[in-house]
Order: sequence, then C-alpha cells, then structure tokens
Amino acid sequence: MFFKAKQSDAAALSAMVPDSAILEVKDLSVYYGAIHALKGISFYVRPGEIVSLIGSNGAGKTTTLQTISGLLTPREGEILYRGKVINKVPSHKILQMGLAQVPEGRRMFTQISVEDNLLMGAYCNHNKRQVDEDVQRMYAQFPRLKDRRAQKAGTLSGGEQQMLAIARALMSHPQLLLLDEPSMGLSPVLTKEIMHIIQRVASEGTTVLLVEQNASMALSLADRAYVMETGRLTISGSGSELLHDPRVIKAYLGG
Amino acid sequence: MTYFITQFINGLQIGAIYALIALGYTMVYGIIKLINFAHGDLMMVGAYIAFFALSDWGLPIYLAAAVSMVGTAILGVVIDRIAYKPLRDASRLSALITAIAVSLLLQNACMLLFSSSPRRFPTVTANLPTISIGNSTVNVIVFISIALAVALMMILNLFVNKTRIGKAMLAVSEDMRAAQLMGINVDFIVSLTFAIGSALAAFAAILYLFSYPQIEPYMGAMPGIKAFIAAVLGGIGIIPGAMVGGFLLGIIESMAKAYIPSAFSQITDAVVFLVLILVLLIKPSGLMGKPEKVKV
Repeated sequence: MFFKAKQSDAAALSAMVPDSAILEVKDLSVYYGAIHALKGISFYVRPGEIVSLIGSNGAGKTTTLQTISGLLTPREGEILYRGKVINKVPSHKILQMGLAQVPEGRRMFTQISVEDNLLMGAYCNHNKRQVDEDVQRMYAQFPRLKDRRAQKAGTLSGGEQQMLAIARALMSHPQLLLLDEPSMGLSPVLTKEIMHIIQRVASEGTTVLLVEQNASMALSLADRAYVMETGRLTISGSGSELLHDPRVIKAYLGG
Repeated sequence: MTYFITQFINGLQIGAIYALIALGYTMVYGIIKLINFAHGDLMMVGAYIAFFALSDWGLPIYLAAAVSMVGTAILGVVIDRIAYKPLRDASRLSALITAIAVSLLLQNACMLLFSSSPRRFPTVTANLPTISIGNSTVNVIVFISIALAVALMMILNLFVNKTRIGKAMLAVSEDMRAAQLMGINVDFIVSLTFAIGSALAAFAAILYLFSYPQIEPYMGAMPGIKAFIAAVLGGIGIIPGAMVGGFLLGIIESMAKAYIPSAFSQITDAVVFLVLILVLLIKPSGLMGKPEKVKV
C-alpha cells in the first residue's frame, strides 16, 4: 500500500508540469557502468522558486545535479532548460546558458587566490569592467572574502570556502543556481548563515535548486521539495507540507 | 676552480634543456595525469623539422626554430586527439601503455622516413666568439642557450600565473570537473597544454643540437628519460619544480662527468638514475611537491 502511494505521487508530479518551468527533468535515467543510479526521475523548477531535493547519502542527488550540469550523460530521458533540451550540451556551455552549480565539497581552486577563484567564476565574461564590478559586488555581500582576497583559497575555513563557492558561482550571473550540499561539514551557526545567503540570492531573482541531506534546513527554505530514495523521487509537495509529512519526519527529521 | 666553473656552466646548459623538456612532461601530467612517454620523441621530431628547415629550405636559424616549434606543437596536439583523448576515462595504465606505443611509432616512423643513419646538424655557431674563463674557453652559444631557455621559462611563468587562460590551466590541473563548471573548455586547455609542451621540446631540441649536432630517430630517448627524472625530482605536475629539477639534474650530471675518472665514464648516466631512486625513496612527491593528500 505504501509503495503504491509513492508510485501515484510520482505519476501525479510528472503530469502537472507547468509551461513556465525554467528546468524540467523528464524520466531521467543515469548509469555508472552497470549501476543504475537514477531510475527515471521527473521533476520541474519554476522561475523564482527555491526547490529542494532531499534524501540520504547515495540516493542520487549529486548524480542528478551533475547530469543537469552536463558532467554526466543520461542514458534515457530529457533535461529541458527554458524549453531547450540540454542533454547533449557540453558542460562548459551549460554555464553560458545561465545555469551555474556550486558543487559538493565546494571544490575551491586551492592553489590560487580568493580573488582569482572569483575571476574563474567569470571565466566566460570578457567584459573586464563588468567582471571588476561583479567582484566588488561579491565583496560587498561577503565582506570576509574581501579581507582574504589575496590569500590562497586553500587557507580559508569551511564556512568561508562555502561562501566563496557560492560567490564564485554567482559571478556568472546565473538564472538557475544548483547547490549541492552547501551545509556539509558546517556548524549549525554557519548553516544558518548559508541559509540566509540562499534566501537572499533567491530574493534577488535567481532560481535555486538545492540538494541537501540536512532535511530541516532544505525544507524550511523550499517553496517546493522532493524526496529522493535510491534513484527515485518518492514524495513531493510544498516545503511546509513535507516538514509535516509523517514519512518525512520519520525518515529525515529524526521524528 | 676554473674547471669547476666551466663544468658548472655546462651543467646549466644541459640543465636548461632538461628543464624545457621536463616542463612538457609536468604540464601534461598536471592536466591529465599522464606520463607522456612519447615526449622525448617529440623533441626528436622537432630536431628533424629544424634540420630540414635549415638545410633543405635554407631558412635562418630563428625561422627554423619557429617552424620546428609550430610543427611539433601541431604534432603534439594531433597525438593527444588521436591516441590519448579516447582513453581519458580509461585506467591510467592503458594511457601509459599507449604513450609507450606512440613513442615507438614516432621512432620507427622517423627511421622509415629518414633512415637510421645520423645526420649532422648544420653548424650555426661557427662564427660565434668564445669566452675564456681562466685557462679554458666556453663558446658564447652556451650562454645564449641558457639565457634563451630562462627567458622562455619566465614567459611561461607569466602566462600561467597572470593570464586568464593560464589560470584556467591551473584550475583544470587542480580540479577538472570544477573547472568545467566554471565554463572552462577542458578539451581546449588540454590541447593548449600539449601544444606548449611540444613547442618547448622542439626549442630544447635546437639548443641540444648546438652542443650535440647529431640527429637520429632515437636521439629523444635519453634526454627524454632524463627530463622525466628532472620532472620527478622537482615534483611532477609542478611547473617551477620542472625548472628547478632540470637545472639541478644538469649540474649533477655535468659534475659526475667531470669528477668521475674517465675509466668509469659509463657510470655517469647511472648517477642520474640514482637521483631518481633517491627521490623515490626519500621524497616521492619531489623537491617542491607537497605530500599526496589521502582522500577519505
């Protein structure tokens, strides 16, 4: 019975994709060799939303984001960004379409300076004046990065690195920002700070797709959310619905 | 003392050559984690191109050098595209074996095309003055070679550390996937790395020919392997490491040649390999390398 409910949820969700979706994922299947990592997932993100994907380690959340960013190629299914199929677009071109990712584990370029990391985020922008302005804008938003601008990124603390990773992604003026486990390894205080940053980014007009193991954080931020279990999306709803869903509470909120 | 100084200068000269070749090994390794064992043979091809440009087309030496560098750069990029790129996601051993195959292919292709009999590189330095140090003399070409090599390395350093594309190379070498997420075209960066490394090898070939003016299909093997040792000595994947390692190895080799009695002259090459063994025993990450981080 429980299983059936999950199935109908998933079916309902793919049936009601609005025309206005900025991102639409349809029946996406991804394999690592023989391992079936994503088993036909479908979801969408509307412009201006914060959408969260929650789930435990190994559920396929990172795989989903990597496939959207073009780092992995799906075996089946489609990814539509602003109505265009982007399955076959190489990853370096996906950024230029307005889709940036803050990868899991921050992935700083540790050997170059904080400022050079920001400049890497604007690699595709050839307008030097605008890039300089963007760097200043990031320093205004993240004053701690300004203090450490000349330091190598590897010397930053975990929280500072996460801020730099977000700032670096924002340097490309994304319309859709994918965030992979931004709270990983951070203290509750820093997690709160990152939450405020995500809220601010969204309020400034960037659409956010957030992947998190920290379900309470991800659900309280989200307009809508999906639960992912072993390569499938099993539950969906608004953030507050899922916060009160007994299945979610039991499995992810320590209820 | 004079003897020591002249040997030291000779060491700097051969060291500059090793450093230039080592840069190609280390840059390619930094980006795609491949020991390109065909790199020494690219130097050999560069030598042939320079030879034909000089003697058959009658170009002046600086133009011959330019033609050789461009030709070798193109060959390096083509080799990567055809032989290495399809194996980018394969195991490192597969790529390594392919590199050895490419090395044999280049040697044998050149033997077929140009025969195995050595050719003599035209003397372009005959009219150059010599500088006397005490009671021995050093041809001014030695100093010119060292200066040119150092200038080229300084340009490379500026390019890598100061330009947008150069920083992108550093970014790709640290984290290819994160670099892709920045919109960096990794394929382009890899090709550029092969082009720069191969051009430096061609330049090294010409400096080498000034002192050892013989060209044959196997001439790349020994300098190639020694430059590889220089790259490991400095810390493979680290650009300043290749420069330091190259000069250091050149000086060590030159001193071994100078102070080991001629009856044992065969042993000087062994000294260079002893350096490799010592590095691997004492500090496998090289002089400028940080100990490998263990990924949890």
